Amino acid sequence: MSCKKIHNNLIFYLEGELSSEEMQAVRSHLDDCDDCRRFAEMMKQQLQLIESEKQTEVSPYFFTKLSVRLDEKYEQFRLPAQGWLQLTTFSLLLIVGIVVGIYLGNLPYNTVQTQSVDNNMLLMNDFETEPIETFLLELQ
Amino acid sequence: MNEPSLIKGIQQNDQHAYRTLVENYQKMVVNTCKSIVYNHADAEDIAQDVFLEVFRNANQFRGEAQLSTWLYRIAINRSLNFVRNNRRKRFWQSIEDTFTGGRNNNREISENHNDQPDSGITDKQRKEILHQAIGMIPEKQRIAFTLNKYEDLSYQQIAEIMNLSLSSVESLIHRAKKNLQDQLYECYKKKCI
Ligand SMILES: [Zn+2]
Repeated sequence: MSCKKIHNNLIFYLEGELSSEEMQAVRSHLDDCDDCRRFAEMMKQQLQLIESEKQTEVSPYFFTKLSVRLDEKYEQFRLPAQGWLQLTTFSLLLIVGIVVGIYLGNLPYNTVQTQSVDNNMLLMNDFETEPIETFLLELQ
Repeated sequence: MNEPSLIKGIQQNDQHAYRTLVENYQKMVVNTCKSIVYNHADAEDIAQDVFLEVFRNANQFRGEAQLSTWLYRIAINRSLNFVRNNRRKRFWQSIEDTFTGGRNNNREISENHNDQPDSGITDKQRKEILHQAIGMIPEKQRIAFTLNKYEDLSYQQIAEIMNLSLSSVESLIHRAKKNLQDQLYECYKKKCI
């Protein structure tokens, strides 16, 4: 049996799931091949770890803790305080964004689009000297 | 208390029935969660949610399946959600680390332990490698494998819990083992242990 074939079947060999001929073939390959034997050893250790971490003890306070949570009524409907805050803030921002968007969308085109390139440059220069508040007031 | 009267008691908010259910099944539920999330404290937290869900939805239990089957299903679903959320968090954390220049903490099955002598590897590191290797197995295969290996459930029981045919479960577990073997072989080639 080639090393590659061994690698494909090793886990089933370790689990005892191969036919007796196949089991024998893998066994005799492992006797001769250091590399496959080392891999088999490593995988065997890993599978044994599963056994070692199988059983766990449950905290003696498990039911007490659960009872406390049971008493908290309406728990299923509760969103954490932070969650509500985030939701409200986001909704408000969204509404403000939509209102501003509609307002800007309705502005007369000629205030922005009919300017020549030169005027645009001037306008942009004006931005620097003119406070933004005044500019917005003029638009209205 | 037999199963039907236990369920009836829970449906009627009987505290004694609550306690009996928890005492009978807490170990099973915590173990199942732990075999998926690999952390005891998290497993107990999830197990608490499992029982709360059972108490809340007891009226929906029709008695067609065993109580344990129902508990297994809820425990598996909640644990899988926990793992998915954790992965999402780790994904965003790794992106944040990339931009903030922080060390990327993502550990993979790779040459992490190369510089350590063979004897230096601890049981904890071995377990991490095992958990990561199992974590790479596709979800359905992983659940079938885990229920078989960690919970010692028969293929028939797994078929009931996962709502699959017996042959599907056999095939899932077979592929899971093959995948686990591939992951461990990658690790072996890189001398991860
Ligand atoms: Zn070989």
